[in-house]
Amino acid sequence: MRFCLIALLLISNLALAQDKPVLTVYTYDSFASEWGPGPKVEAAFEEECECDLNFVAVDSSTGILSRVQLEGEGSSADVVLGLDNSLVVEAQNTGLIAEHEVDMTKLDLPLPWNNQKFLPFDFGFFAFIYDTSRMTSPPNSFEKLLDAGDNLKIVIQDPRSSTTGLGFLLWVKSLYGEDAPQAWNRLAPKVLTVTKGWSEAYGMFLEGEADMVLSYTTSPAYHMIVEQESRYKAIGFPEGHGIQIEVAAVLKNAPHPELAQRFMRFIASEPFQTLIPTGNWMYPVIFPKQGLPAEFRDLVRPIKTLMIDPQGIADNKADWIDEFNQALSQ
Amino acid sequence: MPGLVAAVLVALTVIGALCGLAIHAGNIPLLEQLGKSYTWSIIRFTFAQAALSTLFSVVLAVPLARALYRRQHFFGRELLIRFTSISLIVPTMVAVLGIIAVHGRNGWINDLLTLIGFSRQDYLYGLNGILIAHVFFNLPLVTRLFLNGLSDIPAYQWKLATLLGFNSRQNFKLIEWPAIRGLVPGATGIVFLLCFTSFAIVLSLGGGPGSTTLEVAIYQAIRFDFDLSKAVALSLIQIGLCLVLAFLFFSKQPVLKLQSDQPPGVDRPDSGQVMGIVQDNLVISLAAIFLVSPFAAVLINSLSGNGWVILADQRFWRAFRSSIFISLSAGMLATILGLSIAHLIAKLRHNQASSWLGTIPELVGMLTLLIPPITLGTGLFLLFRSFTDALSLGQWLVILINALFTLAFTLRILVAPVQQQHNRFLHLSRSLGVTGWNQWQLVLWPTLKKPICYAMAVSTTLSAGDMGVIALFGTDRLSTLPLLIYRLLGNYRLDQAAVVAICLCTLCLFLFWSIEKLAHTPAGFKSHA
Amino acid sequence: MLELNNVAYRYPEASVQIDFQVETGRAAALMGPSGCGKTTVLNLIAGLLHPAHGEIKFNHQSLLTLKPAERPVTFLFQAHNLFPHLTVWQNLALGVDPGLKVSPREKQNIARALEWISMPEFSERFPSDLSGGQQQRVALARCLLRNRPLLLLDEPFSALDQSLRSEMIALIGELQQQQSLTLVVATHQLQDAEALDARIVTMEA
Repeated sequence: MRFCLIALLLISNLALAQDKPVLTVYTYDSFASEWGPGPKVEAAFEEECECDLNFVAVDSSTGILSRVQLEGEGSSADVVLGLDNSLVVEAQNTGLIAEHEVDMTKLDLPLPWNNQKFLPFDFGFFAFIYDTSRMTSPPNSFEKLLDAGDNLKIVIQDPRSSTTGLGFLLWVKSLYGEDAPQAWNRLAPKVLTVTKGWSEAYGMFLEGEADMVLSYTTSPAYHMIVEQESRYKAIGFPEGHGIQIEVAAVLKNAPHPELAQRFMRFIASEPFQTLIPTGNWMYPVIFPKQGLPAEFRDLVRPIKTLMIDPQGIADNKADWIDEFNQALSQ
Repeated sequence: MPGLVAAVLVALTVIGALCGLAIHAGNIPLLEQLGKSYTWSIIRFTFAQAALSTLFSVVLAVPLARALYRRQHFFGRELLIRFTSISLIVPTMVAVLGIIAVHGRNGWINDLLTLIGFSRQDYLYGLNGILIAHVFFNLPLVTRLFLNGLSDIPAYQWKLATLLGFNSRQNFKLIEWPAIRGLVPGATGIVFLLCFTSFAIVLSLGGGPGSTTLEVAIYQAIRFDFDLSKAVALSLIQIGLCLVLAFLFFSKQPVLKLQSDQPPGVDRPDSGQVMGIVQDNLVISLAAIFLVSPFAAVLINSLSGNGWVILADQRFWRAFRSSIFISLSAGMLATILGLSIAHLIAKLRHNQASSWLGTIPELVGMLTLLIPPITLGTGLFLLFRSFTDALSLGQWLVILINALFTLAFTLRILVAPVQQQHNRFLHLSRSLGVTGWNQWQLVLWPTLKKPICYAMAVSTTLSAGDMGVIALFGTDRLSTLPLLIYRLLGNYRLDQAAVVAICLCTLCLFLFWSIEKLAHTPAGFKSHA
Repeated sequence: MLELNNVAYRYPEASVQIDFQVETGRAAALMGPSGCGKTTVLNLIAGLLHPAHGEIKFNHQSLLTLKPAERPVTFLFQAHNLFPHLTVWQNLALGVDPGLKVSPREKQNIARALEWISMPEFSERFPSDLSGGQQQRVALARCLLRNRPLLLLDEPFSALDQSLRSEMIALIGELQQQQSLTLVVATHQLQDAEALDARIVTMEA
């Protein structure tokens, strides 16, 4: 009896055969989650492709890349969705990425994009979010933030595990360059904690554990549209804002290369892009015909956009992270 | 010779994993890593947190064990003592969640502080949090060891103390401390090693750049940077340090009695003193609050919030199913390996001339404790990745590695009874010609079913609560309940995490209880014959 | 004079009743089959047990209100008289002060006690290094140091061979003379009682 039970358990775990081809897409947690755009994307694509779209959610964007590297040429992934401009060269250097066939000239990006292997699917600007009901005059420039009193508490993300954290690191680096270590030292006493990912940091902020959180200029739109709540605001810094361009790519050893290319075309199409503003809470790369939701008009739009050349990031990332670690671990 | 096969298999797996990793890494920049100041700050932190955790656990265990020994009758004593014997198999993530609920910025302690007019304090994340969690797990363990030592004090010593008129302090100095003293090195060693290699706690409560241990740094090197060379170099440093530590402490390993057994009552001259009663009750109450409050907080959070929505989420049920599958498979594998190796040890020791050979398989069983599971997992993954798809490979590796890591425990439980059984029945069954399946059914199972089921219960429960390699291979498709808790924590969904934690605890209790029960139903096996 | 007047102790299954007196400086031997309660009587006198009723007096003073350590009593068991983790010297010093704080004069006394049992070179040894007879002699030396008028002996020689036994009896006789001790000995050997010149109190199971 007992052994029958155990045998049953073993058998129950074997996967059942599938008739439809399965397109496997590695992405990050919040994209695939029920409150993210994942389920709607899946439904929309499955309607037109006669296939099964299978999102595999890894806990972070950097996790997607290391996952693909760990699995190597035997990876079951067809497409990776959710790397960003700070990771593209590193991803390209793995030799695992194929070229896609999407025409990128029609994309509406604030900066020119000329990497043929990676297809941008949305973008956003890093910014600090604060709660207007608790704070009336937040530091309104990066310098003022660094000079603020140590009782101001902010939450940021770990640049090693989170692309938001890495984006912030690059933002600081493009503003302060060689002087970044001093900037980190000035910032360190205000850092309540360095979280592994964006969700945790944002959750802590919403619970009132910190005064400001590193997020995106588009985050307040979520509160306005979903919660009809306008107390959360992004702060525009006159020095400029770092940009994040999220990208997708096809893997060289994709089990279903044609399906993968088809999905890439789908990404750059209206049905996918309309899901982005109110699903991933970022700017779409194709401006929708009916325009963005009205709430997006009230958002902070950076005066200056800052981006470090991807090759420079790949060459110096390790040293820059060391600088950050040194300052924050004291 | 299944024992030899098992021992060789374990050794080959470990060596294979290291080789696999080394080949893929290409070069191993050991010296380069050792030259970095960040590496040294990690090593320093690893030592510092382990030393402090050990210090607190061992020092606090002395008054607690003494109070529990001196107070033989109070409400909940048996429960508290039972807890000290199972603290090791409490799922780490459940405890972490509970500790956050009690000690976090929005936790009970801070609620209390604001109630009496103080401002909220952040003391949890970083070193403090790691210490709190390590003491939470190790204080009961050390208390248990010490309590066993105290219970072994012969009654005549208390008679002499009564006649000679010892006061409370003299009782401690002349009787209790000498009974505990001999256990301190062993307890220190095991706690230090456990804290030194601690992973899930540091990952969840520390993990930032300032509070990273070697084990977590290895995980980060693989998970964040996919820098295998760095991972191998850090692993070598970790293994080297562990070997030194194990060598220092190996000879002093204490006997771990996980079963709860009640120490006999004693008549001691100072049990009626008011000072002592007050002091003991204070110590016991504080310890009970410290140890019980995290569970209470998880329970209350799971009941009060609307975290129950997670039960409608298919991620939960996927994780639930994998948890059962992984833990049962790993538990069975660990028990089979443990039993085979225990037999090999018994056989080797039986021949007096080669008794030293018997320690080799035992060392093999301990080997796995020295090597970071993440390293082992990555190495094996790289070796086998071309043979199957990543998802199922990840699952089998989680099972294999969980089995290897609980092997040390199953060996601990099985070696002595197998040896005893061997000495008693080997010649008899040989002379009667009872071999093979018959031997198992007629001789081995009936005499060994209790330790076998206990070993399997422990290893299954440990595997169910484990949050090691799954952190490396986990996705939303391959997930276990502890990993789900970790990810919900990462999304700051504490109420849902609490519900999952309660489910995990229930599952662990059920697994432990039902597997241990297998030993009490002897009829099942006979009906198969 | 030691008096046990109508003393009773109840176990769940049985009870022990006793009534006897010993003159100061004299010896009494409790005799009877095993299980008759000889040790119980010694424990009652020492205060390790409390009687259900009856009175225990020494020199017309009740002992029942006193804690075991305050009673004018030393106790010598059949074995296990010493702490195994303390040295011979420390075990002896416990007889002077449980805190092991010993004045120079008391140090001399300890040295003299060691000489009395002919073991001066053993002071830093541990009990496990000693033979059973030596251990009993050390315990006896501690009785000397404690200097209490009443000495209780529970089968003190049953673990010793003939020559050690007479050696111990000689030492106890000496001690009794020196400190004019009152002895109560539990034994099942008539010759022990005779050797200690003890009045025999017979107990029944």
